[in-house]
Amino acid sequence: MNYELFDKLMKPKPFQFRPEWRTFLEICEAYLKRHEIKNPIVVELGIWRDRQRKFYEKFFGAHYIGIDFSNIQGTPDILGNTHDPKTLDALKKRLKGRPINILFIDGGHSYEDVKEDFETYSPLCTDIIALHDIESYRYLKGKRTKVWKFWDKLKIKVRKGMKGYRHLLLISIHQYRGGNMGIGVIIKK
Amino acid sequence: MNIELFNEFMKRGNRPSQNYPEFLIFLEFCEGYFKKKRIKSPTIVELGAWRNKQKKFYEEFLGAEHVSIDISDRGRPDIKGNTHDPETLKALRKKFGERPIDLLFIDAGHDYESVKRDFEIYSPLCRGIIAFHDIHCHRYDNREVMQVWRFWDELKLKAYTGRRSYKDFLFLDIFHYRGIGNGVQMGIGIIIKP
Repeated sequence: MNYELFDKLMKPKPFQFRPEWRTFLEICEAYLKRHEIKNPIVVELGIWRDRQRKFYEKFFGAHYIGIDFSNIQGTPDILGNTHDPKTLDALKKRLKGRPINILFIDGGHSYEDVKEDFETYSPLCTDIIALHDIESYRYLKGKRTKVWKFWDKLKIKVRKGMKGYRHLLLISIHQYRGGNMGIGVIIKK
Repeated sequence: MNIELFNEFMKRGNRPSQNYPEFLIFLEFCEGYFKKKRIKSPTIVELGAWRNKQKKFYEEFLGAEHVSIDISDRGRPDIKGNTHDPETLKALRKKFGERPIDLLFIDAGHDYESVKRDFEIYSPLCRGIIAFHDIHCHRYDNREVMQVWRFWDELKLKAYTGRRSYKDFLFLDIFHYRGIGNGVQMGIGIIIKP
């Protein structure tokens, strides 16, 4: 990875914690290289200020599609709620039958939101699925942010060797100093 | 990484006691880390070498100077001895002198106390990556002789609560299903020192 470029792209900073984000990109880079995937298709659910796009484009030459229900902070390629069937249709139209290589799930953070995003979009992805904020609010009761709960349940499904889950490789990346975000990476192949 | 060579090394008979995708991702990560830190010939210490079949991976893929330590000589370790014995530590210091360890792989005794002691004794000598093998082995059936997972979880909790010298660690947890049953699961836990 070109670290000078990485540092340059970190200004203005995406809503990511630096070491976690860099490690995630390194894992993606090694994976794409190993599988000889050039110009991967990257879909991001929940783009916030749209500051991750440039990393995927510069490092991987990616064809990037950002989805968000708001265009106040950033400019998503598809404007809409990720749970709305029209959003999925708009994405499928853009994909033209091609699979997603990297799916980054960072939309709604409640358990039900993440679950639905995962169930709706993960079948379209053949390679890497990432969940952002798998450690956020893990030890605080009563918060709606429960990506950690979905991640833990997923891990149990993999551990039990459940059909459709047993071949997944799971990697969690986390540094606590970063305000407790954490990235969960699922490698399908 | 040369995948063909990796596959060759992973063939039956030669295969280390590692889960294929976990070990591959782990080595890829180490390769990237040493490249980033511009460390050309990293010093690697493996506590608990079993049949010593990881050595060739470290030497071939990472250009490492690898020292294996084991209580038994079934795999002809570089240092034969109990990892908790001060003489073992002395022998390691003799090999490396003042040079720090770049990668420490903890895979010796799997009970809670053994892992804890290995970490406490050897981690101060390491400046880069500390890895634990079998962080998911027997996680749900509470066997006392297999509690790497407990130490791993405690470390993470210490970091979470902002405990000094832990909060800056970057944690990576690599897990791939290996078969039915708790005992067959492995998992590699990685800590990157800042």
